[in-house]
Amino acid sequence: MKKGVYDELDDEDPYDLNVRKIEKEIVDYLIKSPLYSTRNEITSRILIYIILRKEISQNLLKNLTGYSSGKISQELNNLVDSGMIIRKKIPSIRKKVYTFESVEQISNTRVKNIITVMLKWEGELEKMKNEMENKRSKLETMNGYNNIMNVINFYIPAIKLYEKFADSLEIK
Amino acid sequence: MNSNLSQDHDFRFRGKIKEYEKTLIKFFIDIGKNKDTPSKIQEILGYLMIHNKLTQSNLKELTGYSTGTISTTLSNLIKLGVVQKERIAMSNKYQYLLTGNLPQLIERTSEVSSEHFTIVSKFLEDKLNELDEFRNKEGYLNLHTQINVLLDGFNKVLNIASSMSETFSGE
Repeated sequence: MKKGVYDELDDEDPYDLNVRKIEKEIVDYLIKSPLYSTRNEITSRILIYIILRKEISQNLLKNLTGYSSGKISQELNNLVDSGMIIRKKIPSIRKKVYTFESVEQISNTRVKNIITVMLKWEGELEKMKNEMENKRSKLETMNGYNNIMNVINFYIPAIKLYEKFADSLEIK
Repeated sequence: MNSNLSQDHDFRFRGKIKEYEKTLIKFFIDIGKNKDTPSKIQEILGYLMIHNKLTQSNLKELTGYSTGTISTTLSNLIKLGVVQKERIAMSNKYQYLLTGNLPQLIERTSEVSSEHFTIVSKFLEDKLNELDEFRNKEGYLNLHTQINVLLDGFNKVLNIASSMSETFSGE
């Protein structure tokens, strides 16, 4: 049977074993590198396979990573919801595949999501700061008052800098 | 006074201050969720940011994580250039601290990432050469193309990191 463009979406991996071995070595190396060692391993492994395959089905991801269907499904849903990857339906074979726009877009989306969370917290941090200032006479003698205040005073302007950075990337 | 004793006495916050500390840790964890950083890493970074300097046993008490988890996490953060360790005077113990404030950390992370990207790029280029042996095999073309996509992407991400560093240092 002639191989088609979506053959690799089948459960059976069409890749030659030697090619697949090199691919796995790349994934394992990246996961262990300091660039990824502080990130969630399961998410990173799935994301790297999506990048290296360009398009991949959930079943093939399961075969390649050894993670359970439930775990992979959960991670894929999170990645789709966060905007880092795209779920694409292939009507002709009634399958869903996962793909991405570009490595740069994944990185930009990650930055954008972090800034969104920071903006969500900005009000909470300002509220905490006001409360600490209002109750200063009672709280400032307590151990840690200055530590907490320093972090808050540090982050409130930092959030504004992150906003400025997001504007410069035009990713807001 | 022995700085180790001072450290041991000072790191426990109480009452309302403890509540504020917990809120800040939630803030750090929440940020981590959006950059695929596990909670344990964000907690440790958060506590170091709040307390400035902490020993592994301080961190163990604050976070509840095992000695192994804390040790591995600190080791990874040191490799990434965001945490450093220093020996406590008159003692065999070490304490851990961030390598700078936020702008300095972003700059340092950008520099260290650049160094690691260079190492990773060399590895990927070696793999491209290795792959050439199987150029007629199934999967060769796609993997070859995508390794180049990854290499190109890394360079663009480095530019983003550098641009972020400039935004912060410009203030």
